[in-house]
Amino acid sequence: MSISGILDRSRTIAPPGFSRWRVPPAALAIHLAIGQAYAFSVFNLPLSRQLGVSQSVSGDWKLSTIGWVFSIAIVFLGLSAFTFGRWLEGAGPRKAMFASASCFGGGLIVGAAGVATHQFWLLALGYGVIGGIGLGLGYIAPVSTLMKWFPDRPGMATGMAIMGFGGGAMIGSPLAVLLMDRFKDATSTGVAPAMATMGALYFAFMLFGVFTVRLPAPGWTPSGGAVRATPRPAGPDVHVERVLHTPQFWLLWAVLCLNVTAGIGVLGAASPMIQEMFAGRITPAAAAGFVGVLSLANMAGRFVWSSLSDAIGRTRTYGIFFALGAALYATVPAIGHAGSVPLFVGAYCVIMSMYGGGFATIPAYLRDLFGVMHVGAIHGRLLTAWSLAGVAGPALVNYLREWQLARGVTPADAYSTTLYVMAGLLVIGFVCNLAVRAVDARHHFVDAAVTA
Amino acid sequence: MSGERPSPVPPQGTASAEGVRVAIAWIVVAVPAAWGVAQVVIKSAALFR
Repeated sequence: MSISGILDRSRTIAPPGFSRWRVPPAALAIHLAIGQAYAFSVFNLPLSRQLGVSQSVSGDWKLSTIGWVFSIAIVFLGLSAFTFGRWLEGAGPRKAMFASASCFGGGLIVGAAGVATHQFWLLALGYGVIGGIGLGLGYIAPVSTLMKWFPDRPGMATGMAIMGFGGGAMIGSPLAVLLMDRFKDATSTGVAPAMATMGALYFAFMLFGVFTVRLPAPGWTPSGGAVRATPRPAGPDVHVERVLHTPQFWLLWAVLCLNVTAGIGVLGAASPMIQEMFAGRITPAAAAGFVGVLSLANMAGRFVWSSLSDAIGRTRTYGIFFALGAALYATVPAIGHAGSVPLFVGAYCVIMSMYGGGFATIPAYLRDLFGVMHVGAIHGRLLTAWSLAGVAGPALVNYLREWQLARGVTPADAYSTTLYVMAGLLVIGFVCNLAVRAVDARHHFVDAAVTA
Repeated sequence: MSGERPSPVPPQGTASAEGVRVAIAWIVVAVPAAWGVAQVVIKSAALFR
């Protein structure tokens, strides 16, 4: 049996008696691995000392240059999800997940070669381009499969997988530190062997997901009395090529983009923000702890909010994200002035839980509106909103901050305007979400129209 | 859905073996995830000291 045969869609149909609860761990194996991308910054400082080892010397890469690697990876995440989403629907989850494992693991190894030879283009090609393609494929690959297995709880099922992406940095960051410590010596920072080892480890871990995932047999339905009836049936199918002509797609695109822009910008600035708003009270170590707590809230929110959306509906869930989010962003400056660290941390935890929840709830929202037929491919196209937000969010926060500092605003107050702007973005998102209606019948997929 | 049929009911022994496979699958992903969460919790302790 060739490798292509093993990966074929027809070989992934679940046998009788297969438990659907084996599919979420398969999806988690992929997402926990590719979530490492959020921890790439752990390599930044050692990469800036590749030649000097103990300190940066002439010829070493600048931090601003190294920052491009992550940006390229996120851009290629969006591009590959957009490009390969349709292929993925036909090829099946196993082939797509194998391609993701090969690209992500291989990308880390090619990137390691770039680090070892100090060729930045090779690092950018390996981790940014090849690894980024692996990110996009892996992110959307399990989504439609999970929805087919969990038609009664689509939000919870995809939330579980996407929670893995949020949690991936929690494994990737300490693992990278552990490996760099193991490999570094007087002549090396240990980044290259650490990246190569991670490439092999992640490839093996992702293979577990590749060979565990199964598709339900045609006609399969959730069995057993414990499974409740589907509270929110999938919408009528809409073809992926048709979806771009619907206002619903672009409204959801705006909803995701605005939610991510607000969250990602503040997440990136969390450490300096808490130190400057509570100057003298929060140490750098405590600020690092704050970032850790936020990542936990981000991860938990992905599961909690997406599961809740199965009960209260996607429109209401996003309505809460935007209304509560705007209120919290607008209140945080006052909390900072009041000097309450616990309230500040609590408000940010809720904000970050809704940032993660926005990612995790969007696939089920797409299913409700556009059906399950091409939901993976449609999700892939929607993720271009993330690519834009990934660049716009941090840029907006940094630009607003510098603009205020240049006008003589104190560092502690410099974040206030930024937070008010973020609250404004969420108000726009609230309006976009309110405008979402069922898709017009003329966009619904009609089989004869395609086969004719 | 056309041609819909009920899910075949597996023999009891198969069901328990499947339960073991489900448990193993969850352990494989839960162990690294728990290790990662523990690292964050340890680091976060500094915030509450």
